[in-house]
Amino acid sequence: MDKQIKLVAKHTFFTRLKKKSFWWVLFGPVALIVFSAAIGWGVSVFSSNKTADVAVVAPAEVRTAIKENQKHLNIQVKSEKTESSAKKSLNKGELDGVLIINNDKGTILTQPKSNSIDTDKLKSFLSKQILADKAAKYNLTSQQIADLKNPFSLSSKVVDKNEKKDSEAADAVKQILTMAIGILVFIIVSTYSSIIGNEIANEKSSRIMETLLAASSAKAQYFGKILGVSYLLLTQLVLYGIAGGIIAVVGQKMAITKMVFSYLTALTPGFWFFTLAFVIISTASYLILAAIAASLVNDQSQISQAMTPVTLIAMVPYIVAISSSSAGAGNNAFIQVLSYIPLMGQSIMPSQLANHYATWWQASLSLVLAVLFFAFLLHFGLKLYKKNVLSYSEENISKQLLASFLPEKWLKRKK
Amino acid sequence: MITISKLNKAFGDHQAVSDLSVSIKPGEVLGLIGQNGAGKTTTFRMILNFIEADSGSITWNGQPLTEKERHKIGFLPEERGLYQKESIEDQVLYLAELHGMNKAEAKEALTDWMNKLQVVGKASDLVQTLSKGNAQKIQMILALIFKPDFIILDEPFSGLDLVNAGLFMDTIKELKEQGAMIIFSSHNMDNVTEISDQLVMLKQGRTVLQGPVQEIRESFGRIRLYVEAPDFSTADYSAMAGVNRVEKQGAGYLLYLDKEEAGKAIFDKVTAKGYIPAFSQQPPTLAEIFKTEVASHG
Repeated sequence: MDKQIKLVAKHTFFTRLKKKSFWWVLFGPVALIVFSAAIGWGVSVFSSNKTADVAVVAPAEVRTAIKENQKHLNIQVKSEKTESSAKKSLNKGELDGVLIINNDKGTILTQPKSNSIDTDKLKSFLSKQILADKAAKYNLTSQQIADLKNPFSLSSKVVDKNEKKDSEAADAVKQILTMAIGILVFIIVSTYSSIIGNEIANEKSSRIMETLLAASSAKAQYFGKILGVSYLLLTQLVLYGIAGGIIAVVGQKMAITKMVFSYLTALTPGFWFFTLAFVIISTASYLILAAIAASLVNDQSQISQAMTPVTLIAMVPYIVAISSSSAGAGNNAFIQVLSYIPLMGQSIMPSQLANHYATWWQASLSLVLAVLFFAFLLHFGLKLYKKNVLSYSEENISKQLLASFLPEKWLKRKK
Repeated sequence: MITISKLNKAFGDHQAVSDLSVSIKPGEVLGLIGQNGAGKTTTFRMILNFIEADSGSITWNGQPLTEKERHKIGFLPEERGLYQKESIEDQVLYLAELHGMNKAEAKEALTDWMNKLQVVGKASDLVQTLSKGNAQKIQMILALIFKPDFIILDEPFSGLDLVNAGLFMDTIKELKEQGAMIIFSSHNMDNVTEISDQLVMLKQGRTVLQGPVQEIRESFGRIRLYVEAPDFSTADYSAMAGVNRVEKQGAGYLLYLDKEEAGKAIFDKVTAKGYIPAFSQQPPTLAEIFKTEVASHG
């Protein structure tokens, strides 16, 4: 590699590493996770999770059966002699619910401050109970009644001859991963685009760019900065990897650790390779876009304006990833098309792959397109960087950015 | 030797540099003067390949300037800029390394240069703590630390007090003696006159004056006459043949003549009664020539 590119990369890397802002980037997501977990824990601790007190107004045998199963149904059956007295107690807030059963029909009354009652569980129990009562009336044996009460078993399984393990990964895991990848890519892209943007904007606004270009070249500065910021990303990923390894070893018996690792190991190494490749290629592409946009600013105050188009582009796959995490959404033609588009595919294709809306060769095609686009952007970006980095224009940055992508001949003709 | 030949650059309809041809030999200083927007910085930027010339060539010892050679050019830009939150040492060493210098060697040279240019502060100080003058000295060190053979200084004296401008002048003279080729721009004509071997004046991109400074001045004739003669007033001088304008200057008068030859008759008149303390007939100063050229149309 060119010695000057190495020097610029090293300078970019160490300058940023010494800044507090990078350590915020490093610990920010961890702090966010810890903070979210703490809030979740706080909510669960302080939320009311008492067993609901329910009065049952029903034939004696039904009432007895419910009382015998109150623990399973997560309710406490309270004795109320009549429907009206039960309703009065409910109105006073002394009861959480009143269950009224007449023949095959039932009604559950609750009040706004009631503790929660699992009505699905209750409905299922009552259905079986009524079925058993009716079966008894038809003089069926207890064996026959038990057989009738036995529920139908339906398990979900996707058959995919290509990837057995991914096929068996739970839907919930896939949905979580789909969302997590979208969020993760968005965080990485917006953070590192902002870092490279600030780096270039700082040099432009401090007017040191001419000195730098006299000592090196636009090419060395461009590639060096992209490389230096990539080293920062790599540092973050490696540090997270080490932290993950330590947590895996130290907390291997903790339930939360087991759960997280069961999520991470639910999919194959192949899937993780594709995801990682997408994240790297797309982040690198966004870094170039950010470098191009930042090369247009006159001073630091314009950096957020310059980064807006880049963030907006990054928002699209993020929103799509979030909305496509629901079951079946990946079948949508719009989402399928987006999964092949560079700068978009990184957040969409991994989830398409995990959810079997795309095959391995389709994912490979999307990755190849992303790599080709990256190569084009890298080459084209150098030209734009070289052209813009020493120019200070008063024109609107978005207009300049758009004009940067148009051929010079076309612009001259327009003028 | 650096040879610039028929260099042209236009920005849209505006011709920034037109047919510029000049050469600089080792140990020679070229002063580039002109109003703001005359094309000086554009010329520097073309030499450094920041922008591409529309036509013409720039060669070093007959060979086109390559990227490698361009990094051997010491450059002080007009727009001063440093990493404000970095220490002097960190950024000087970084840029010296980019110019191909060894880090240890650069560290040693930085100490020497800081002493030489009398920078107030330590190498470990952050740039943002430096005064404007000291920051400019650091910028000058960045341009010179790697001992370049070719040096471009864009307005090196702007913003400096007389003492510091003198330090920079001495440095330029020293580098010249060591055989460096130096091209610089300045609005201070006294400095240009003092250190330039040759001069190029640009006006709207065109070369309007070119050559050794003294030769250019002489080409305008010795039309500037300073006289200290008792008993002669402004009215007396104004009435003399060939006198265009009279200005009181200190103990004497400064007369601007139509042509050089008028000086002899004036000398005879003011010395008719014998000794006078001062009679100095000189070509116009560079500042006067500059003003005349700027004011002239075409």
